[in-house]
Amino acid sequence: MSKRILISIICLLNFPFTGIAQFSDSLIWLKEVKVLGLPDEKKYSLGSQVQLLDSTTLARYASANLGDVLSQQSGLHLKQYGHGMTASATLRGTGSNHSAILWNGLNLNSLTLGQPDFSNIPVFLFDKLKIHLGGGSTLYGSGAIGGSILLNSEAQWHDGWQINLSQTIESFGTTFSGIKARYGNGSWEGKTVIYHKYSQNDFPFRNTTKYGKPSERQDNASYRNYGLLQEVSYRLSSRQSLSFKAWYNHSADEIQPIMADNRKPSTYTHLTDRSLRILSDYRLHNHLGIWQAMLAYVRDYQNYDDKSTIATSRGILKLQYEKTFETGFRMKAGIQGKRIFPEVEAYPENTVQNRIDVFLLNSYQFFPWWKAGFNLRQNFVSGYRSQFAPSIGNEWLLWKTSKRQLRLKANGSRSYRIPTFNDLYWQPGGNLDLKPESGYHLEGGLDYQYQTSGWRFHFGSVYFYSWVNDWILWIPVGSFHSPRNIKKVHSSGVELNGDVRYTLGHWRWNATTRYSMIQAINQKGLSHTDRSAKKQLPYTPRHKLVGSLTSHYKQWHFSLSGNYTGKQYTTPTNEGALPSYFLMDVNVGKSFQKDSFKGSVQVTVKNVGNVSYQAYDNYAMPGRYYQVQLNFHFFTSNK
Amino acid sequence: MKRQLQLFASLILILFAFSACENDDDKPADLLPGYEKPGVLIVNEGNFGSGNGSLSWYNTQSQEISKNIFESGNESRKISASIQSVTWYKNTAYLLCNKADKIEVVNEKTYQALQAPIEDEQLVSPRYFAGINNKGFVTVWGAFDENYTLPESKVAVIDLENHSIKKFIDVPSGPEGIIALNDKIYIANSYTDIVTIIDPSTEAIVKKLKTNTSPKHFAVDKNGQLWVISTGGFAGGTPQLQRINPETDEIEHSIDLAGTQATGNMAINGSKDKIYFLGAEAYPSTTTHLFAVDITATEGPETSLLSGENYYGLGIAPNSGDIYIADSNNYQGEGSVLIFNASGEAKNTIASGVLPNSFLFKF
Repeated sequence: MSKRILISIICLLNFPFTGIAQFSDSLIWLKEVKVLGLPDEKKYSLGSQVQLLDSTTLARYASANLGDVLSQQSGLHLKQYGHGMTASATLRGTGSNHSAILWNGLNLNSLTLGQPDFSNIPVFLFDKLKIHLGGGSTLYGSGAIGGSILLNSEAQWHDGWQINLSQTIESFGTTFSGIKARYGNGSWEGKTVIYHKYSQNDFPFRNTTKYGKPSERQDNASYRNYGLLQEVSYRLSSRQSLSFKAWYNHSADEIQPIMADNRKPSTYTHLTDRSLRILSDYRLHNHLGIWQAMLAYVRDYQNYDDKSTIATSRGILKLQYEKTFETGFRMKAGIQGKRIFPEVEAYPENTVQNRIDVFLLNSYQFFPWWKAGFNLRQNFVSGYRSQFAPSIGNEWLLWKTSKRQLRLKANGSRSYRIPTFNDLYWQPGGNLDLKPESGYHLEGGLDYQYQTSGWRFHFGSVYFYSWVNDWILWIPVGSFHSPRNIKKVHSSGVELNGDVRYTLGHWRWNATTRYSMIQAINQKGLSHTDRSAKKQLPYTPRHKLVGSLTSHYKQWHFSLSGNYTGKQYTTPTNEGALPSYFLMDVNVGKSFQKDSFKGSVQVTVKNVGNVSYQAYDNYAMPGRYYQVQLNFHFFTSNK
Repeated sequence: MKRQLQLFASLILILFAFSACENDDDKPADLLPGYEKPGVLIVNEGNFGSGNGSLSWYNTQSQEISKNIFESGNESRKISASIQSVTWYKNTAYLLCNKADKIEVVNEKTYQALQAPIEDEQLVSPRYFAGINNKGFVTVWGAFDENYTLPESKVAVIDLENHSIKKFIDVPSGPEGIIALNDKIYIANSYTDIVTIIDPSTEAIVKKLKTNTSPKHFAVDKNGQLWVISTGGFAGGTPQLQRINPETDEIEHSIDLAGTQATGNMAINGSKDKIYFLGAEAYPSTTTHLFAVDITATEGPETSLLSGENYYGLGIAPNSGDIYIADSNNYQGEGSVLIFNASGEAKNTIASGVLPNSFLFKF
């Protein structure tokens, strides 16, 4: 590994400042990663859309949570109960529990509720993250119907120290502090991340639900999130490696009340979440192929308002084998077992669930211009009907010159979601006769790239079509509610994304935009009086556009980021709606460097237009506010 | 480079100008529509905690429906609450809201707020209202404790001259239906087997009458007798209709409603000789029923008058005897109102707001 490549990797993966990484570096970096082994979603999930957010992008969001960065950068729509509060996402017109967050292959979704909380995952932990849109159950298992968020970290086998410090101060009493250290000698490596965020979150707003519409400050919306991530990797030999990762995350959130309940302390509630995720991984590379064993333990604990507690523990064992043949064929086979122990008072005693997944992934490079993949996964759940999830994908390189490249992609998959523990076991109402929800997803798209000296242009378009059947809803049954497989949703849409980069002397310009048009249509009414048939799903805007314009001049950078969210309905019958809104952030920063020390300062004005809006009915959101972020980076290298 | 800077600066300005556009939809409050007879006020409870309760007005003559009439009457101010009940008293409508907990005091014709809503730290989950001698009595659940019981159950006494809360009276758990009769206030304490009787002048409890388990709501018949419906509770008790003599405050007659799974929703017809109530079949059935029973009956009904899904509330038009059923639409967004004639033949179905729960008739 040459020094230049090594430094490029450091810059890209660990140096969180916009403006340092050059394009030439990223090309070298991509080659390096190939040496380490392409991730599964690149190798096997051919024809689907995977968006990568790199360290340069994430650096601007060092103090943000996953939801903030995804909603701004990838245009996915967050369903968030107030500012900084619990958030879920709708991907490609599916529901809030139809997306999966995976940390090194480990699904982080709540087992009791099914959905991940995008507000409790700090971006600072990760050097990059990926969004895999569309059906992904074949690769990721239950819940990956609309899309999956992949948070992976791999050892870099760097020899020396790297330390990042990040400090953010924001309006409304918000502070974020983080330290990230990576150290090693080439055969072993450690990574430690400690983070803490607190927000008083008492932003002012006009309370349009109170008599006289007074101006108020938001009460009971403070939140605190802190945690520790420790990773240790050891290279036993050139063919074997062992790694261990442990992540403890704590969040204590007040629950922002609806506007009409603001300043009414008797109604205030709060929520505490604690999660411990431990993962160990062994890899062996021999003449037969690559062998991998993973053992993991996850414990989630949630307490609502010092009253009810919900906790789950799970143990996971995964074994997989991968082989690449010289003919261009590669395959991966694996088995995963999971045993889950919930601790919820409303479940029958000694509730335990076992889940086993077996999967086989294949891809074949028929010609230099044609790759295809075919994958299978079968899921088994104890005492319960299981699900089969195949997928097939193709990628064709239609046109290639030294400057231009045009690709056609197509993918089809079946995905599923196992009912949550609440759906199955909650007393009263839990229904053991539920079927898993199933989704079918088809997509096709074109990718065009053009590159000359100074210019780089990328344009992508995707058309998708999806069906979700047996969607679970809780409906009134007798004197309580019970879940049933009764909803059916048919979604289709178009996603367009463009990226233009232009370099001239000391100036570098970059404009990106992502637009999505999504029709998510409920297929049938629940009864003859139900008016929700053929209507758009609530909180699923038809139009969403995000875009940014960034300019670098020497050590300075300026950027504008805009986010347009179209009108969204608040009920399945589409008789109530929230108006569209457009938010814009302005960001200015400067970086500086001396030997092995680098630093940057950036100032961001959020919601520059001071737009008053609601992202969820009856929950206040802040107007214009400010953020100052400082980053320091220090590294040594022994090579 | 200068040109690029200029370009950048103008882009900022353009985008700033675009994002700074803000609409203010407030309109002056003159020319408010009045909701006059003949018509029906539909109370749409809204999903709990979502603040999407609303009021609709159904003009029975033109068959037109006006939605969100509170917002229309209050310069687009959203009610932002679950509306548990509405009571008319002396040309004023009292809107009892929980999540947000408040009592909106509005003009009974225009639904324009007369003042800021009544709020109090102890006014948590107000349920139902009864007015007498310029005093309002409001059943209040109070907060749930960690075992989901209601230890802070109260009745709030409101001075209707200045709409301020005078005092809170502690009552047995889960006070629900409330009615003023014979210069007394009767309260159904639904988490117990007690009907509490309060003297409105002294604002003190005068009697705790033991009833069947979980009394919910009241109706007064043509003979001035008070009926209370009870569900029997969750432990499998039998629902009952019990007749209370308001002179003696003793139970004089009980009708077993075995097999009806009565939910506690009841209404009496215009001639006040027939009581209607809702029942929901036990899990796993999703069927709900409407039953009717004469005040002279000795036994509960064998069959239901109407059945369907999602029956959540009911009302009987006092002049025509038309039956109004509130359809919850499985709690999934806006519901419907099903209108039948007195003999149970379907007349009309109209669109309501989210989770309709009750009706007030103006004829």
